[in-house]
Amino acid sequence: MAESQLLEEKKSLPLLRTEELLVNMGPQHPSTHGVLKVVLTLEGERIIKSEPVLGFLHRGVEKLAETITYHQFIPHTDRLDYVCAMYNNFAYVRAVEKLLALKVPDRAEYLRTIIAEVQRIIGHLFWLGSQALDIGAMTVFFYTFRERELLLDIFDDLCGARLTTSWYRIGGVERDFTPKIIDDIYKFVADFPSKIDEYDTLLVNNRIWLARTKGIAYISAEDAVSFGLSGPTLRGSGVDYDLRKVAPYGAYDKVEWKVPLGKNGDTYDRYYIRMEEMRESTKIIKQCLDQLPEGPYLAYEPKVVIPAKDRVFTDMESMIYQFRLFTNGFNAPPGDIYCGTEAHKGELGFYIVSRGGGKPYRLKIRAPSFIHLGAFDHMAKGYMIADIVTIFGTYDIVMGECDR
Amino acid sequence: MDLMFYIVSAVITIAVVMGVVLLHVAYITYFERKILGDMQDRMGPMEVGYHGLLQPIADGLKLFFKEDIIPSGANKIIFTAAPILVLVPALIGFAVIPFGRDSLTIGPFTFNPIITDINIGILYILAFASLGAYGVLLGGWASNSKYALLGGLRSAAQVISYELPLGLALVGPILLSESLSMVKMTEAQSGGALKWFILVQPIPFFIYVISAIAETNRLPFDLPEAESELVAGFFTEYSGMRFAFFFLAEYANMILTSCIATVVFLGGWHAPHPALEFIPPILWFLAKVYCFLFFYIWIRATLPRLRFDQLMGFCWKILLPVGLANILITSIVVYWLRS
Amino acid sequence: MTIRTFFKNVFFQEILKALKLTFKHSFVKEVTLQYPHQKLQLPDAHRGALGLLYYDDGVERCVGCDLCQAACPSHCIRVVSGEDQENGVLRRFATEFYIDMTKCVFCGFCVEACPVNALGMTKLYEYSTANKRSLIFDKPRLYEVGKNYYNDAKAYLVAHNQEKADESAEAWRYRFPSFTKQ
Repeated sequence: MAESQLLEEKKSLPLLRTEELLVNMGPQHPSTHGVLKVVLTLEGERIIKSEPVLGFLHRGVEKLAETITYHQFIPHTDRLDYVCAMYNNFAYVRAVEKLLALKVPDRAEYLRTIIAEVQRIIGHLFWLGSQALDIGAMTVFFYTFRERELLLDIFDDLCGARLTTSWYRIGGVERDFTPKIIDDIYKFVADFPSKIDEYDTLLVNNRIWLARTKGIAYISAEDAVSFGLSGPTLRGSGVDYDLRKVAPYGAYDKVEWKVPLGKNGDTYDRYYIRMEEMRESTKIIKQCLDQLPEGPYLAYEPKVVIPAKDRVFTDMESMIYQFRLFTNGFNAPPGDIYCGTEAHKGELGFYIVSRGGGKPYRLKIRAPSFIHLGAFDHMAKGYMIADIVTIFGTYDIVMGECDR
Repeated sequence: MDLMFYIVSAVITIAVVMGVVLLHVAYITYFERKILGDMQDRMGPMEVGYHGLLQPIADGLKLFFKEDIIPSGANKIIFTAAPILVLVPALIGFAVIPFGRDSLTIGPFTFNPIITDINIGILYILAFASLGAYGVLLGGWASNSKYALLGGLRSAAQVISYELPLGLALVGPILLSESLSMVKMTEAQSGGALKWFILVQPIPFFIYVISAIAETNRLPFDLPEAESELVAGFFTEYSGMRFAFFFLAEYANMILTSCIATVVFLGGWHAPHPALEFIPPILWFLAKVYCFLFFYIWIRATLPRLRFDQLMGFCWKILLPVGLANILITSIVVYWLRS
Repeated sequence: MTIRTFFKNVFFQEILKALKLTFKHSFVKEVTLQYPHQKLQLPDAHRGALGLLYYDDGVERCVGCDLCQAACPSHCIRVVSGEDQENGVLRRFATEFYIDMTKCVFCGFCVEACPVNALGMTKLYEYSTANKRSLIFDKPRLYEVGKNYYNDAKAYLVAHNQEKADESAEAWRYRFPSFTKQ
């Protein structure tokens, strides 16, 4: 659409000498969401080519995984998508559990689902705040961070850290909910829908917001599928694909919820979907808390799962396993496995090749941010330079995950 | 001898007005941060002085002592001149603003609440306000930076476009008061809030508010300095005192447009009701200016930013026709009433 | 477009609503803390700086088994273990113990790994310094942290199911015979 329009504009002004302007946007630009660099070719204020340059935050996480045990890699997954550490943990431990064919206790599944959904809300809040700030609505940013702060406090209470959580363990979770945490989450869930309405008051019908997001960064359903997009970016184009429904894990198949879908495949639809997803997440959390079964929160699997401390103190076997597991790790069966998890920005997958032993032979992370940037040029072409921040924001890019 | 007294009192008046205006400029940044903070459930500056009251002074000192950087490849003369070109037109407009009614006589000196009452006051302000665009454009161009260039171009286009609806919005009140002098316009609105031009001319007031926000490059029209796209727009490369000049100019422009709005639409120094006349006129004036400034900040806390083409479209497709229609209707009505 | 939506558009209804919301919020109490003057109440589970702990009777808990060093995902711990023999009883301990706080990721794995609960995480988070080398905590510094923040570390161990808060914790203690109370 945009290109033909551009050509027509050019034809109508044949005598003017025009020159393309090359702008290096980033990596030290205030709104490129980290250290992304984009080389923009501009025709006036219109983008005719954009080329993301990645790798400024490359830390070799995948290679690092080959040198440490499966268990030790959990804190490193925190640093992939540092906004949503819990979901990275979840995706990783799910992959390892699939490799080991490990069964996780029921209660652990519920705990995991609740916290994963809390993390999804945090991710969407963060996205909404930064997207609104990019477009200029600074108040929304502070309101979303206010709610995010409450949730981070719950994380702090739960696992001792606000961002780098490392709460998920292979075979369950690190620590059970205390009654205070359950109360806090209940309280938050009861209060949160009114807060979403508050954001809506500021944005959803606002004519400036509509003008800035409607029809921007359009992608058709076919293109979205062929670019491998996932998550809200894909569902915004109307493709009903959510791993939580397609291949249920955790307790997602035991609760009632809907997958919100968009129609137009533009930024506004993706925004709307994320708002709806936050509402759905509160429903999931509430139902999970109501159904929360009793039982252990960590599987009893002495050869794989780190034994509880009181057993280490009293039981020689456990003591031996404690030493074995922390020095050499467990002996994973040889084979390779891929496990995708629906994180808040899309399908976060871990592909593990094991040749036996305590360390992965190769670990590959399918980061949604990285895949989404592949469609950047396609989606940015023909829009104004002012839209470029909207387009950055619409994917919900976190460079830690993208560059790994 | 009289001439000398006149010159001395004029110079003192100018000094006082400039001093007070610059103080207000400094403190409007503080109020902006505080009000934004309040609306966003946070506190704003709290550290320097009681509730951060000395923050503007600390900021000023910081900027004053910063290293003065001129980027390589920049045109030095224009780069240096641009901030002054922006600041001077912003401050010069205050010469014709009537801040109050009564003049003060101390011995042989007479101090008027207005520096000079020229009979084309409003035209004078508009003429100088459009000069400010040159500073912005030149500053953006001289920086030798693509972001600054884009910001400068945007700003020039925006300021020149929005000057039209701004001027058109002011024509209605000028027709009603039959004068271009700021004092005469204020006097035409004496006798309570019902006589204020905002009630007779609500649509021009609305146009004026929008164009004023656009003229001063404030959110939702702060495209020349849209920090999410253009880093800081035309003053990307400026630092230290030069940056402070741009900053001061922006806030001085805010106050100037608020003053014009007060004089032209909100009855200047007049009290909203004759019974409230016991409060000094200058306080009424200040109160109205601050209400208007609060509105500026309030808008900033609420709205996202428009895109450049949308901004221009809004100006040329909506504000300009509405403004022209208003002039037509107002002049017909005024003609019909007089005849 | 119905007349209603037309009027809504002309009078900027949605923007007025948004303005009302932000105005209302200027009377809401602030949610932020003024950090150096007010401080966040940290939960017991909080993972702050690491400290080495003593038993209640003043004996070093650490036996220098190196398991924390093996468990650390960022390889920031270094333990040099030693042993000596007094009165014919073998004693093992760490002669040197370094934690590089610039590398530490605060995951708590070392605490989880420790078979004698010698390490604990405290609520200490204000130890920034101009001297980067002082961020490599050595044994005396770690014991100092453990001593000054003993209650925090204890609460951390209890919160993370590493140690029981009641008397039964005493029974679990792993000690060498010569150091038990006579």
